[in-house]
Formats: sequence, C-alpha cells, structure tokens
Amino acid sequence: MITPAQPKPLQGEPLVVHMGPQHPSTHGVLRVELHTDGEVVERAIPNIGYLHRCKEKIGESIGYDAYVPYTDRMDYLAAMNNNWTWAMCVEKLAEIEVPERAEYIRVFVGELNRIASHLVAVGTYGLDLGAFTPFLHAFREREMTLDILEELSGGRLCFGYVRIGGVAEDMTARAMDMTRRFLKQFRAKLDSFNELLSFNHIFIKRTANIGALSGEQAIAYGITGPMLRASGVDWDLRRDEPYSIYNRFEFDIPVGQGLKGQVGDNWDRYWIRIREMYESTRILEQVIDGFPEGSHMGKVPAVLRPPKDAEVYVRTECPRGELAFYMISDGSKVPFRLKARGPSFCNLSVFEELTRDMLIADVVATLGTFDVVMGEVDR
Amino acid sequence: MAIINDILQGFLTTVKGMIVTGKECFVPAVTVQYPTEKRPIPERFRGMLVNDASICIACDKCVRICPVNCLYCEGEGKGKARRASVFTIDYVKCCWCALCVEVCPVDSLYMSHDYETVFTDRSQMIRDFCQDPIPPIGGRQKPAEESSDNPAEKKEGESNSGRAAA
Ligand code: SF4
Ligand code: SF4
Repeated sequence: MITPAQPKPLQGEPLVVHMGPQHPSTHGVLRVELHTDGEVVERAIPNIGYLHRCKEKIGESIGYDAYVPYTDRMDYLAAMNNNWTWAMCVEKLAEIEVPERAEYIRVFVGELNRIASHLVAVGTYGLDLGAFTPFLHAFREREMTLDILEELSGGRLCFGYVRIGGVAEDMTARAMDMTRRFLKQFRAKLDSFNELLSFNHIFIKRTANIGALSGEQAIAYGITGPMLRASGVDWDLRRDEPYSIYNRFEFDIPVGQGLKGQVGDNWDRYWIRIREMYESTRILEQVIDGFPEGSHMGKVPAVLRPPKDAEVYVRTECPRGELAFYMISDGSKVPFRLKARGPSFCNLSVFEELTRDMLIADVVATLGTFDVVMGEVDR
Repeated sequence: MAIINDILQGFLTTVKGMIVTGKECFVPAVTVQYPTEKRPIPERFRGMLVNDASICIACDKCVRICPVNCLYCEGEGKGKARRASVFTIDYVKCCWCALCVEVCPVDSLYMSHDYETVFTDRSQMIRDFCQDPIPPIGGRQKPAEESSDNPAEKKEGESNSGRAAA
C-alpha cells in the first residue's frame, strides 16, 4: 500500500514585491524591495540610483559659477537653499564678502522656499494616505510662494537665483507686497489645513505610534532636519551654528513631543513640518520689516581662482536636513574635489531599520514622512 | 468602547474638515483655464532665450559661461565693427538658467516672454540667430540704443553684473 506523502509544513518563504520605481508614493524614482510575509513586511530595501547624474563629477569639471544651475536640480523642491549652500561654500573658499542686503534676500528666499517645500511634503503625505483635498489646499498656498519667487528670479522650480557673492537680481517692491499679502492669510490657511488633515482622527490613527524613531537611533544614522527634531533631538543649524544672518532673527525650533503617540512617530514627523512653517512665517515677517539698503551683489573676481589647497566644508539647514558641500581647491578655475552630502540620502538610510515587521500600508505612510527627493538622493 | 469613540471621533473630525472644504465654495477659484486664459507673466520671467544678432559683438562670454555648452558663436570684423556671423543656440540642451544673459556686455542676449514653443524635430531646436532673426516678444532686454554704442563703458556702469565690477 502506498502511503500518501505527508504535506510539508508551509514554508514561510518571503514574497518579494517591488514597489516602484514608478510608484506614486515613492515621490520619484525610488524602488523599494519589499520582502513580505502575508501583510507584514519583513524587510524593505530601498534601491536607489535611477536618477544619478554625476553631479559631483560635473562640479569638478565646470566653473564655480556655472555650477549654480546644477545645484538647483539636486533638491528641486528647495532649489534656493541648494543654491545658497553652494554659494556660501564658494564664498568661504574664495573669501568673498556678501553685502547685508543680499543676506537678507537670501534668508527671505530660503524661508519662502522652505514653506513651499514643506507644503509639498505635507500635501503629498495626505495624498499617500488617501486624502486628496489637503493636497489641493497645500498646492494652492505653494503656488503663492512660487509666484513670489518667480517675481524675483523668473523661474518657478529651478531658480538659479542665489549666486556667488550675492543674488542674481535685486528685491522688488512688488515681491514685498506679495509677501505681505501672503503672510497675512497664511497662518489662517495653515490652521484650516490642520482641521482638514492634521487633527483628523482617521489620519492620526493611521500615523500615530507607527514608525517611531528614537533620538539615539536618529543620531546613530546621521539623520538631520525635521526627522531628527521630530525624534526629540533639539538641533537646528540655523540656531546652533548660525550661518548668514540667522542670529538676528527670533524663532523657535519645534521639537517632537509625541502629542498623539510616541515621540518620533509618523505623526510627529508630519507635525514638525507644519510647525516649522509657522516659524518660517515669523522669520519672514522679521526679514521684510528689516530690509536694509545696499547692493545685492558683492565684489566677485571675473575669474574665480580660490587659493591653492584651500579646503572647506559648509553645511546649512535645508528643508530636508543638513545639506553640505565639501570642496578642495587646487588653485584652478574648477574645484579639485567636490563632495555633496544630501540630507535625503542620509535620512533614507534608516528606512530599512524603521520598516522592519511593519504592515505594507504603513510602509507607504512611513516613507511619506521621510520626504525624500530622489534628485538629491541620487545626485 | 474605544472603537465607538474612534468611530465617533473619526466622523466628527471629518465633518470639521468638510466644513473647511464647504467654505471654499465661496472663495473665488484660483485655477486658470489655460489655453483660453493666461496668467500674467512677471517682468523677470525666463522664456525662450533670444539673441539680437545685430548688436552681438561676438565676445564669446556667454559661450564660456554656459554650463551645458549649448551656445556657439563665430564673429567677424575687428574692434567695434565686430559682429557675430554665426550664433546658434541648441534649445535641447539649454536649461534656462540665464547665466549667459547676465554676462552679456551689450545685452543682446535676453530671455523673452515666449513660452509656447513647439518643435516637431530636434534639428529645429538648433536656431541660428544670424540667419533667422527672431522678432522680440518682450523680455528683460534693455533699450538697444543705450547698449549698442560703447560696450566697454556699459560694462563698467552696469550694476547687475557683479563679476564685471571687480
Ligand atoms: S540660459 Fe543657461 S543653459 Fe541656456 S544658453 Fe544661457 S547659459 Fe546656456
Ligand atoms: S555675451 Fe552677448 S555680445 Fe558676447 S557673444 Fe554672447 S550674446 Fe554676443
């Protein structure tokens, strides 16, 4: 008699699901390899490199001033801040003075761009979780900030406005008026946005207590920006290592408190961005009240040749975290070595750790709070 | 009990959000019906790059600064009589950064306000402004008389080119 073979116990071989590179919630061309067991993700491995454009090598082959448009395209949602960091780096390398008015304009465009960038972050985060209306509200407000930046620079996304030694063109009275009008109603708009999304109970249920990142973990992974502050670490370069003229303004650094759940969970990471927008409006108000007269461009040599063997590392607080450029000059017209440290790239490194044993739907909810811009991750 | 509370809270906060949305019914729309309606373009708008080849002195400055090498320029004549004989731009490569506009000593190069441009073929995107002068469509060009007579003087006095000042 033949005995039927005993069925083997079900083997738990993980099913690999590819999320992306064209997935709407990856915000760009990010591919996440999900090793799933049923509904649970055992491992989520982000695969990057789809948008690699050799930014660092290009920087080593073209001139210092011609590289400004390339920095636009790193973090294209915060192009002003990228231009600014690059300009600061070259100015430190070549010892160029920046006029006071130019510094004010830089802070002005930097903070406006921060608002624009955070609005995209919170708006698309709602979209990831299925809330479509907040996205439209966020983009309507963002449109107003972009109008102001367009009035100044002529561009709407890749501005190329902050130049070495100052800014490309002077502030206009019309831009000031537009900003005043914008600031007058923006806080009320943010309040209604909170009603719409932030304090929605369903939204809180989906985000609070999920993907909590502890402060130690965040520091160990080199996380910066809103993600670090959401984890309860009180660190912001604008206050702790004031560059440009940030020490003249009064503003608070929001830190995650775990209002709806644990410190550093998804809701905290989202909420920190909303609070940073409130703070940015405060800085903007102080900036437009104290605009000094003067030139918007400092004295820049016609051909930039920084001293030989000069070496700089400059970091600034971009909307996504610390953006830094490291540069060595060999005395020629191009840098000998250029290295960019992008915040999104470092922040993404914690993704695998954070999403271990999570539900698939929560992986999307977690990735949204990272606010990665793939142009910057891959460079 | 917790689940009933969740349902109730979820319902109430959603209604709150709906009230916000409902209020929007009385706010004028911000959207623009594009092809029939157009939003005003700011003064500094960066549209298609155009060169007025009649005043370009073929100094090659723009060619050197361009980060993507999309300009090509050849000149003829000496001194003040020098003019461009070939000046091409490759719109495929141009990234609308306006670096070339800033360095141009005679302001012959400028960003027009034209943004509705369609090409059916890549070869059409390379334009020679000496063969095919483009009528200006508005832009941030300065009056031509002011700039055409003495480029050297213009360069000294011009406030917006920082690199020329030093
Ligand atoms: S706008 Fe920029 S990319 Fe285009 S031709 Fe001028 S310098 Fe080159
Ligand atoms: S910089 Fe101006 S004048 Fe010189 S070649 Fe270019 S367009 Fe002509």
